[in-house]
Amino acid sequence: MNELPFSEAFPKMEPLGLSKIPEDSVYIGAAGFEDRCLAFLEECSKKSIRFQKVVGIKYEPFDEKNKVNEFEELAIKVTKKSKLEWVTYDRPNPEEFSNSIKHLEKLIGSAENILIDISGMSKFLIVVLLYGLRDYSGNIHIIYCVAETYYPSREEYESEKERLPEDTPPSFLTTNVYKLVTTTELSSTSMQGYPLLIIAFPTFNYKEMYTLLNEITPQRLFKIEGNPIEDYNQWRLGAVRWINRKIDSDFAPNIQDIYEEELSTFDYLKTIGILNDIYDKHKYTHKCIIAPTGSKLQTLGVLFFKQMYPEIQLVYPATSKFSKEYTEGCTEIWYIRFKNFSRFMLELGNFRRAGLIQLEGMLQD
Amino acid sequence: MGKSNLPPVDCFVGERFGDYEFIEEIGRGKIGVVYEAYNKSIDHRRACKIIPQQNLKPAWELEITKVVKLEGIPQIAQYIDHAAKLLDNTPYVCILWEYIPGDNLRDFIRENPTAITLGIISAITDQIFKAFIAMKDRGISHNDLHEGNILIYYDTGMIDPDIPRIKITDFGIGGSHNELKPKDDYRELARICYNLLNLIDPSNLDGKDRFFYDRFIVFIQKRLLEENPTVGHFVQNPQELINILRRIPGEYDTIEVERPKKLTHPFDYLRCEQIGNSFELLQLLYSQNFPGYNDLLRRNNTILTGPRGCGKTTIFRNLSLKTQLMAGKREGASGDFIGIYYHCTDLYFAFPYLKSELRDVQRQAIIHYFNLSILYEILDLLSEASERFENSINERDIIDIQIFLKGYFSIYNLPPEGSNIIRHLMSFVVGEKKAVRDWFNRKKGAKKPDFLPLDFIKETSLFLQKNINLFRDKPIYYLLDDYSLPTVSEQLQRTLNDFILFPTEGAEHFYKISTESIITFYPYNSKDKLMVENREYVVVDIGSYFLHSDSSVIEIFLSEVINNRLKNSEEIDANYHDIQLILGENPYKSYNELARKLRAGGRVQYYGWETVVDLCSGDVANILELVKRMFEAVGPENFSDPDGVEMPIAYHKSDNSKTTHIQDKAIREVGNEFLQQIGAIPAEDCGPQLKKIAEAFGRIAHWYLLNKNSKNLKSKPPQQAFRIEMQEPPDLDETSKKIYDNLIKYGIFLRDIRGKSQRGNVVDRLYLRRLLIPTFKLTPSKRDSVRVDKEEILLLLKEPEMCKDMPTIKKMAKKAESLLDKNQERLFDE
Repeated sequence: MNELPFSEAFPKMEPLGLSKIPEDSVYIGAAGFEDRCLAFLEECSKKSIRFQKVVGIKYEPFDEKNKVNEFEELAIKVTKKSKLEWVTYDRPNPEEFSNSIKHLEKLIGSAENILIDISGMSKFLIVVLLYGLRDYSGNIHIIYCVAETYYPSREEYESEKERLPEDTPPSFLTTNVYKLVTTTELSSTSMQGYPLLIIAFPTFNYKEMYTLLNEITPQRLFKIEGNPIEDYNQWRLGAVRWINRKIDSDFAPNIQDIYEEELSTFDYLKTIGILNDIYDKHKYTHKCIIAPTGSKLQTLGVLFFKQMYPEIQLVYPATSKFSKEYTEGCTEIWYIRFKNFSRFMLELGNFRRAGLIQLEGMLQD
Repeated sequence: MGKSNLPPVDCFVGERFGDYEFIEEIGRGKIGVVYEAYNKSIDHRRACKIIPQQNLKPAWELEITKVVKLEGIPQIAQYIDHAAKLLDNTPYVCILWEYIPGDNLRDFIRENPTAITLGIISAITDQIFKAFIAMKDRGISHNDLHEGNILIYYDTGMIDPDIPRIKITDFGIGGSHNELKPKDDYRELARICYNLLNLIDPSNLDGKDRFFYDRFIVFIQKRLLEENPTVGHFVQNPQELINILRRIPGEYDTIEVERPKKLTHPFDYLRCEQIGNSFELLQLLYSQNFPGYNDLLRRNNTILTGPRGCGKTTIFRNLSLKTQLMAGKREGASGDFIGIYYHCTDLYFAFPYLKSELRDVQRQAIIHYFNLSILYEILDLLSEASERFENSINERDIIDIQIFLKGYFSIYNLPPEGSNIIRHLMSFVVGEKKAVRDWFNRKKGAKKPDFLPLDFIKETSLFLQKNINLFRDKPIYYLLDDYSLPTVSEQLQRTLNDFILFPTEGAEHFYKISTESIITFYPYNSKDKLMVENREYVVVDIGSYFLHSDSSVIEIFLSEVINNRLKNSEEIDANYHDIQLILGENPYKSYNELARKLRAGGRVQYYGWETVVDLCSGDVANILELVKRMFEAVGPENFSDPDGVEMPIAYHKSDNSKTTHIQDKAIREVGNEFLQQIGAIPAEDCGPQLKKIAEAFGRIAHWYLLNKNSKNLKSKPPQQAFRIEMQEPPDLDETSKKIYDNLIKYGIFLRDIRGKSQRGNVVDRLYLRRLLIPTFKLTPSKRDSVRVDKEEILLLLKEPEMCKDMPTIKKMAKKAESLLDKNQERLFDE
């Protein structure tokens, strides 16, 4: 993979110290069902940190497993005037949320700092939210809580694998893929008539890839396979490969057109690098579609890549509900600070013009 | 006298230079002013530059001596005469120049910021290089090149007066802004190019333009700005530079993209989309003998449907003239029509989310977008035709097309002389597509575009048919691929159906619309008016043709498709070019014999060429997959050796006990996998339920085979049915209708729209996807049916687990009334 020339411009991830949380910031988090969606708020509550406001995101379709009440209780504790505002994210219909970003901006008001806790957010929500906030001129602090246990466990996986016939891949975690979704903002009509290239991140739920490839048949498919950072989780890479093995035979019998890349689930910068490498080879000949089905941090990488290349089309196979246990607990909280987010995104947007900017430098010499 | 000693505006109106009277000040610079001068007696104009003598730089006459050396060069503003004059008691030098009506490039950009395309930039650069060639020849430089010194004008005396041309003026004697060091022309041209490129949004370019954009920047950096003569012959050599620049568009074709012309493996590229832009291959793998071909090409609006994998996209792409041209052919498949292909995912990406109610103006915007998209495809075809086959479309044709289109787009600016007009038009259309989308989505600053009229495609088609040889007197088929719900949403279809499906008088253009299944086509327009089959459109259902065509027709088609692949594969020896020989005969003489074997419970194998043909419901991709597996089981490398494979394919050499018949295994595997894939259909489309229904029907049909005899034959063979025959139209509630529709949509059952007359009603018959016949231990015989009444079909749809066999169904169906919801609807009453 080529080293990105701008990688220095991206802030590094670092362990969160609560002292880094600026005064009077607005917190945005999602009331999901995982423990980690509350982990940061709990920490803030313990340390008596107060936000100017908390914006909670509720999911539709409603799922009783979602920790809405717990989120609300904590949110009230960590705001100065018990200011909690709810907004709704409808997973099968993200357009509504995208259209309501203006309302969200009003809620944020003049706050100079927003903390966005992506730990409990659905992946497409991360993209829709941050892309929608690209004109926000304050600082954005991404909070990411690492779960203690990721499901399915190895034992669950092995037993399910044994239980099912050879040709039936087990589907874990997310079930009932609903449909392929996108938003107007994340769509692009460039490259009319060109063959399609899909970049997707296989998961334990092979139905996501099925839905994606059922709706859109690409000429080329790049599967980016997530490699967990912890040694004890690395079996998951092999498991995801095994579960998705039939994609090749079912959807793209010509193996030459399927490419596989391995990528850390914990590195948003490398995600951008790998996407850049793929795109660089195909940008003249293919319309590129990315399904950010990977890890939350990989999704962050996809978001920034979209900002670099607005012509990229993003889609997502939305699920109607999550399975009972997705992750449990929280071990570490990580943090990335994007100073003056709108300027950062603007500069990122200029990446596409790197050649021209270089030319400008030559002409000034 | 104002700043820089310049005279007040228009103060010399009425003064003269020889026979030329100053009539208007038309320009004002740092050191002088410019007047339009008119000779009334000969009705002729000149431009007169008037410079206060005190502003004259030393060696000011150098400009004139340079220009006179460039006499006759069309890109250079020509010098006429000069003289010293006393005007208003002030000494001036007046220099008479060729009059060039128009703006300079700087003003042109200011007034038309969106008009600049890569085509324009390339043409301007090309023209300036032409001037440089002459300058180099005469040993001179401009030394003060910038946008203000490049004039864009229109010559009414030329054959195409509306085409802008450029002229370079104001040759320098030092630098601008009192700099004495002369400016390097190549560097200044690079600066102009840079400024122009800054007006381009690279994310809004198509692949060819994106390629040109990137390469052009590299060209400027590494060629145009290079000053070290040892680097190459091109350094400050305009002739070389112009050659390099002109080669860039052609280099697009050399991008390292796999465009195979032959197959490595006979079963590569089982889906048309995977072939991408390998047009030669697309043609090689195509057979126009598919059942339904003649009906598809009739002159009417047509909906093309058929099970997934039946080759709808392959058919459409092969009918497109672009494919034929790119594959090296000039004539259409039949030579008597023009096919223009458009994939409707573009509509999905443009309007992924539409509200349930649209205002008229929003519908107009969608139609405008559609018109632009179709126009883009027309232009793309013209571009390929003009690049590859100069005789099929000439320069005059292109200019006429531009003039025709200019009539529809008031904001369209004609590109300068020497531009690639078609590419410029394509860039313009891409910009307009973005503009209408931005307006539709209320993007900040977006203005409402002037919508194209509803008859735009009709008029454009007529224009092409009347004026362009390539199109003359041929009907145009607009091939809209994958016009399918939910991707192309109900609202999109309602909006577009309004004008796509209404026949327009006098136009020989038709829409051929492929859709996944008949239920993914939404047959209403924006006024909720039903579009009636055989009135507004006809349906060509490939699945249906496979149900009713003579088996020899299907066999010829399938063998052609497979044999084409074998013949065009690098590694297949000529001994293996006939699939019929490779697969051999069936293991049974008749379906009845097969059925009796199944009933006897003995070991039954499915193999042989006829069996494979019998398993095809039009889903050619599945059949190819099935044959592919047989080849893979034998070992593809063996097919390159003339004696490597024993025909027909049967057992592995190592399989002494003959336990696994290679063909039988592949057939069963593909059927089983199809069943699993049904289960993986998204839950919203009831995937798991659909799988259960297919399994339930399989159980029932197999029960019949085991327990009932056919009444249709005297010999009373086992009853063989893979068809559901409904006794009367079923009453379906919302849930069961959705399930029913998805059975059709995903091709699990194929609807025979010819139906069967039952108790005074014509009722659909449903054929199980033939691929599943071996999975459920059935035979492909079409003689018998599984006859069900409306309660039984409802039970099958809603409670398939209960349907263990026919007696159970009969028993359970009596209780089925409880399954009916209040809001039932009669499916076939629509």
